[in-house]
Amino acid sequence: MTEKKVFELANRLLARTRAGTQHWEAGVSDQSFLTAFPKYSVKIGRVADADGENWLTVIWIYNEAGSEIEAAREDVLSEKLQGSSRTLSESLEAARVADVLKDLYEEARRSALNVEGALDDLLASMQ
Amino acid sequence: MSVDGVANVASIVGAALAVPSLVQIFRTKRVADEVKDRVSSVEAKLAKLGAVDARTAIVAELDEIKHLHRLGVWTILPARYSAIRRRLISLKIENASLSQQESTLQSMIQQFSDMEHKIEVAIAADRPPKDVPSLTRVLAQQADRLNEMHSFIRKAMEEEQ
Repeated sequence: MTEKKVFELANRLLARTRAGTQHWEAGVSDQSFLTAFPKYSVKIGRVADADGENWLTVIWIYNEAGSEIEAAREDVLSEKLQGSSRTLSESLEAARVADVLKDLYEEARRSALNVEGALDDLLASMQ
Repeated sequence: MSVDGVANVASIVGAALAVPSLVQIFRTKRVADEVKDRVSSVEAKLAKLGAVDARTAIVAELDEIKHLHRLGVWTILPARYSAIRRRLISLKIENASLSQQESTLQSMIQQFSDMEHKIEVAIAADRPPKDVPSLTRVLAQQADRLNEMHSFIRKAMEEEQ
C-alpha cells in the first residue's frame, strides 16, 4: 500500500514538474534535488549500486522537522510493486517505476537549474 | 380600566424603560468588539515583530556558521545547524503571518537537516565533509531566503499601517 502511494506521489510530482507548477532546488549533495510543501519535503537523488557501476534513483520523504519518514530506491520499489500486483495493468505499471523516477530526477534537475530559462535566454540572444 | 388594560399599559411602560438598557448593551458590545479587533491587530503586529527578531537572530547565527566553515571547525557545526533548524520550526509553527512562506521554511529546515547530516557523517569518518563549496552555497542561499522573508514581513506590516 505504502509503495503504491509513493509511486503515485512520484507520478504526480513528475506531472506537476513538467507542467511547471512544482519547483525544485539543488540539495546539499550534487546528486539530489529538493521540493517542499508546507509540512513535508521530498528529495530525489541518485546513489551508486552495490558494484558502484550504475546509478539508482531514490525518492525520500521528510517530515516537518526534516527527518526521513520514507525512502524508496527504484529497484526495490519496482520489485515490491511487481510482487503485490494482481492484474496485468498493475504489473505493467510496476515495470515503469525506474523510468518514472529517472524522468522525475531529470525534470527536477532542469527545474532546479532553470534549464528552460537559460535555453530561452540563449535562443533569444541569437535572434 | 380593565385588568387587561392595566397589563397592556404596564407592558408598554416596561418596554419603554428597557430601551435605554438595550441601547447601552449594544453600545457596550460594539466597544468590546472594537477592543477585541484592536487587540488582535496588536497581537498580529507583535507576532510579525517576533518573526523579524527571530529572522535577525538566525541571520546572525548563519554569519557565525559561515565563519566556522572557513575555519573548518566541523565538530561544533552539527549543534549549530540543529539549533537553527529548531528556530525555523518554531518560526513556522508560531507565526500565522508566515503561512504563505511555509513551503519556503520547510525547504530551509530540510536543507539545514541535510547539512547537519552531511557534517555528522564526515565527523564520524574523521575527515572534512565532501564538497565544502556546495555546503557554503546552500548556506548562502538560505541567508538570501531569510532576507527575502524579511522584506515580505516588512511589506506586510507597511500595508497594514
